[in-house]
Amino acid sequence: MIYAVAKIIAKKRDKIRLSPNQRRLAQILAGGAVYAAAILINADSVALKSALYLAALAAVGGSIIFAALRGILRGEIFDEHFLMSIAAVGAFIIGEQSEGVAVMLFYQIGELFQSWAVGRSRKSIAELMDIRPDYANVKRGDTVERVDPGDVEVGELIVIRPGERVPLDAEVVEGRSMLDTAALTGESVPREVLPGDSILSGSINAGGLLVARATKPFGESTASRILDLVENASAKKSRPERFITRFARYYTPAVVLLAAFIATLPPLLIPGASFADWVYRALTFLVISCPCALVISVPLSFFGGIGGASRAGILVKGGNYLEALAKAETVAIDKTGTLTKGVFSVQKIVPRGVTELELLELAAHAEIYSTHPIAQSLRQAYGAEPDGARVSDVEEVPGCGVTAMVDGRRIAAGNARLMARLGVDHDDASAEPGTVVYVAEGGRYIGYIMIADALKGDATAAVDGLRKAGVKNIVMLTGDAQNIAERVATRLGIARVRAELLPDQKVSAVEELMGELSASGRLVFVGDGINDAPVLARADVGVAMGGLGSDAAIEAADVVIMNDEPSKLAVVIKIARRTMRVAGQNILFSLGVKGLILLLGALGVATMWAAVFADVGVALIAILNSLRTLKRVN
Amino acid sequence: MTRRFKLVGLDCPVCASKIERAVKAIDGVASANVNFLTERLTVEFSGDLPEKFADALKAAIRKANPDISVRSA
Repeated sequence: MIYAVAKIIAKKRDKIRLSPNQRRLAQILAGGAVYAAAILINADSVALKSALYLAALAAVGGSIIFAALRGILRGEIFDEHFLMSIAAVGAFIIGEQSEGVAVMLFYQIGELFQSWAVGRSRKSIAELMDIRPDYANVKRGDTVERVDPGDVEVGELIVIRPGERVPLDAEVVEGRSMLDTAALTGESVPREVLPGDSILSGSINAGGLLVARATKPFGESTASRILDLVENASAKKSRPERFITRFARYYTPAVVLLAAFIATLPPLLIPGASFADWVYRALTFLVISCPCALVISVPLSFFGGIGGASRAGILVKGGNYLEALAKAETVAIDKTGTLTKGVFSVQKIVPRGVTELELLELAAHAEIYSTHPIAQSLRQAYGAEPDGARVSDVEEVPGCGVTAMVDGRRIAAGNARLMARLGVDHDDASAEPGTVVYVAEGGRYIGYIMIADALKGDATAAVDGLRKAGVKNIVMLTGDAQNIAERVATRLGIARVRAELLPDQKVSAVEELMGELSASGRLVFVGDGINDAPVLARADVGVAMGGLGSDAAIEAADVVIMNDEPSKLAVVIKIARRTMRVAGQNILFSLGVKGLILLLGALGVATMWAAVFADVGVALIAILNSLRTLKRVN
Repeated sequence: MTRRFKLVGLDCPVCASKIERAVKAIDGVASANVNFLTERLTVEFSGDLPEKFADALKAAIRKANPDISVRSA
């Protein structure tokens, strides 16, 4: 009879084209109406009441029972449909018809909400990952064709119109425009691009028409690589995720086994125990035997965390790295290229008796032929090409500096040793956090220029943010001289510095720091991804900066900060902590409520429908809770 | 070698892990991972694509849940 009804419903299902959720809603409404009728009708005729209950069960749960039967044919006995069906049908058999219908009704309502919540999460995730270009305009001969981005070959010319997404990594050939890279870096300020600049797939043309030459095939372009990483991140599971997967495998059989014991043992062993009463208690167990809430909400929390991070321009390659980031106790930061811009430039000009410009002009001209990086940054700061006709008698003083005639004035530019050699009195600028060039004219001191690797704008905020996020140890690693490193560290408020490290010594420095960690603490290393692949690999979590456009960095690191802001590190640590917190809440809450229902059910206190209601409610709350991980972090 | 598939109609996370395990058991498969949220199955093979892999994959998915269909992605 039930099988026949199920068959009819299955047949109908193919005829009427409804979405699974609409179908479910229809079942709930129809079943609910008949159920209400069955309860309200005057119980003159027991047969009529029973018939109505049966009709309600068929309407609301027919498809579940049908799916259960199909499951049995496949040998799937611990299938949730099967267990719900046994619970409902069992309730009917022991005379609890109303309960049997209620179980199915609440189960279906729960499934509907769950499916809605999952759909919503999938949508938010799809929005996050909305960087995949749908098409490319290729210039072939005289025509522009719209093709699949995968069909574009390296070297072909592509046209990107205003408002369109850049389909492949390319180099601008014609046109100038503003590019919106927010989807890649989380930064909303558009970047100007000119012919010769490289542009990355996934960014949006916010200005004029661009013609560009594809430099990478679609599959290796930035947008595809980012999507690959985020989608595959679920393969590297955190401990809570692994626990849930394992737990889910054993939970259902264990609960079913318990139910079997409860149904059979007490009636046999306890004198006077009613069989129907204990079967009822056993059926209550079956009703909550599905581990779905946990199985969805925990991975969803981690996926949300990874998604939220990628929206902030941070790629996290797996839930396990979020877990480790949340336990960050020591953060080792590379100085050059991470906290500083990695480019030497004039930071300070202190003239004595001349103007700033004059001082810079004289120094730049004196250093006109020098290939030293210091000389280069002097010339760069000067802004124009020094005029060779104004310079004569250039003489390098090895290890000290240079002397030259500029506009007929005898100029000396160099370090304190040069000044001492010339017998010139000068400021003591040895406390400056960089290299100092003193300048003298004739025998007269006319000021100094300080050249340093400039700190990034958010370097201080980055260090503060880490401390506020609860990172105990912040250590700066650098290959630079001790005194320069220490001055930079002091300015940023970093207490520990390991300076003058060769690249391979950074690995042993990180190993030493890892030796100091507490049992649950983790070490995070942040570098610019250039030359520090071994350190990135050695640390518990290797974070590379400025990953956008740098394949090596994306490859080597566990976490990639797409732009070059070190302050994003504190952001990802906060996201990681929140993710772990939410996952933990979900596990505790779901397990706690299930445990409570099992206990109350065994004692005969919880009714079947209350058990379903609680179980479904927990599932929903856990799913909604996990959606919080998608939110932005301040 | 890695192949990716889209699992259409993947509604239940328990099915996702069932499919994951069933696909891992297919000959020549080194690892299989189902991402429930993106409905994506990623299969890594130890060598070339095994013969008749498509059939084995369909059978594995049908056994876990006949309402799920598989497409290449």
